[in-house]
Amino acid sequence: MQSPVRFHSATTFEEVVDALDELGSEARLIAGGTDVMIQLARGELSPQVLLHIERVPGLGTVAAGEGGLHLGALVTHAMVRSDPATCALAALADAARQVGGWQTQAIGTVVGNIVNASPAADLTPGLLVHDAMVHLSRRGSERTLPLDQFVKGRRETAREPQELVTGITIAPTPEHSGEAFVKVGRRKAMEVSIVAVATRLVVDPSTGTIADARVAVGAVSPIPHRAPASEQLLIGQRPTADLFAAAGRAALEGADPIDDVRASRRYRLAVLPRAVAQALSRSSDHVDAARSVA
Amino acid sequence: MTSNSVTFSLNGVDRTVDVPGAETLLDTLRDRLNLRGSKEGCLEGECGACTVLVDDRPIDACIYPTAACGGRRVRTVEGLSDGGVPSLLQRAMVRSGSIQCGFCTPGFVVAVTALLERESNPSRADIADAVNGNICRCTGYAQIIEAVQAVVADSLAAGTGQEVEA
Repeated sequence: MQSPVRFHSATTFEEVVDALDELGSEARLIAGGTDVMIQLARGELSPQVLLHIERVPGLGTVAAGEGGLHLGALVTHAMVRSDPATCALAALADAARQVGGWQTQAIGTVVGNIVNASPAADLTPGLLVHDAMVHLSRRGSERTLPLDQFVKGRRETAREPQELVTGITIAPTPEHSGEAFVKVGRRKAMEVSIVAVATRLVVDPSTGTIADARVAVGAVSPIPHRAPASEQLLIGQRPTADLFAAAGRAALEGADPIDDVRASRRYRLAVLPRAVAQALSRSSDHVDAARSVA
Repeated sequence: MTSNSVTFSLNGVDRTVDVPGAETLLDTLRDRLNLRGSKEGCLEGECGACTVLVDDRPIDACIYPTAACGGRRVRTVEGLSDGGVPSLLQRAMVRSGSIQCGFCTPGFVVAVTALLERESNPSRADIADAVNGNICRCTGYAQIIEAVQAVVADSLAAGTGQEVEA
């Protein structure tokens, strides 16, 4: 028998940080609830209080500002798909487009996706290639952490029980860049990723060589992570199919996938290099497309 | 106190329920308010059979807490027909054979209604995308998408949005 949970729908930011200060880990924050409610039903969570934040004002906007583009804690996947600023960022928008189905995207939040810290979190690779910073607040103080220091393990983050993640900021996108997101699943919709890859290439227009490369992979290790071996291989080279294939193979370094109901470890290791190569090829096409428009 | 008194608009009528904190909107609709059109399928937000509209957004009622619905506008499949007269979409789905076992149908009707409310001329890809959270294991989706295309074509031909008589 599940012990009864109290539901508290907060209407101000102060109310949230005060309640967190008082309750700590006895409170479970809930926005759209698409992860929390399932975990509650499975008995994986047993908080005293569900602290509902969907009504808190000021957390639901995408805004360009100092240091880049800010996504508030209540920005949903549907908003990332439709907002002109995030729409232009394929590594994020294409990931948001492939999270669950419309019902999940309509209320599920990007911040919820990273705080839930699933190894297969679809938004995390795209946020990693954009140098996302995570903003946390508690009563009387705030701090900011790079996303790769925020996610600590499977379902584990650096968030203290008294802290609320108020949003994330992604760095300005450099010129002459192209990006992509590739998700491998058994069907197109409603899939938990078998492998997910986000990449971004910056190509120097004067030399035609890769000036900066970002490769981030998800669902192949407890934490989605950048693949530095792939990135180093790419930088300074001309974009070619052979180079992308080699960078794909280099992404195996640091990959330690599991066998589960969705796919075997062996399959994940076989498909990862191809998914990385495909994402790089699409990123490169996007650089070319952007140049021909300019 | 672990129960919440929640008042929300349900198909246009204000309703107040007293529910435990984690009760799902689906349980409230089916077991307290006797609206059984929203179906209980997977109970994990995977199949879309329980889709309802909360403030015009389609959500899976099986994983949404009733306590979050205070002051909001909830619409279920029961509220989408006009006094028992099927909507144009519902009639088009019957005509095109979009229904076999019928279990998933209410969820499709609700999701597509949300699409048609925001998009008067959706492409085939838009329609397929709008039902990507609804699972049908009988029809193969083709007839469902055809039904939506038929409603859109009729509405555009009449130039009166969804009000056209089928």
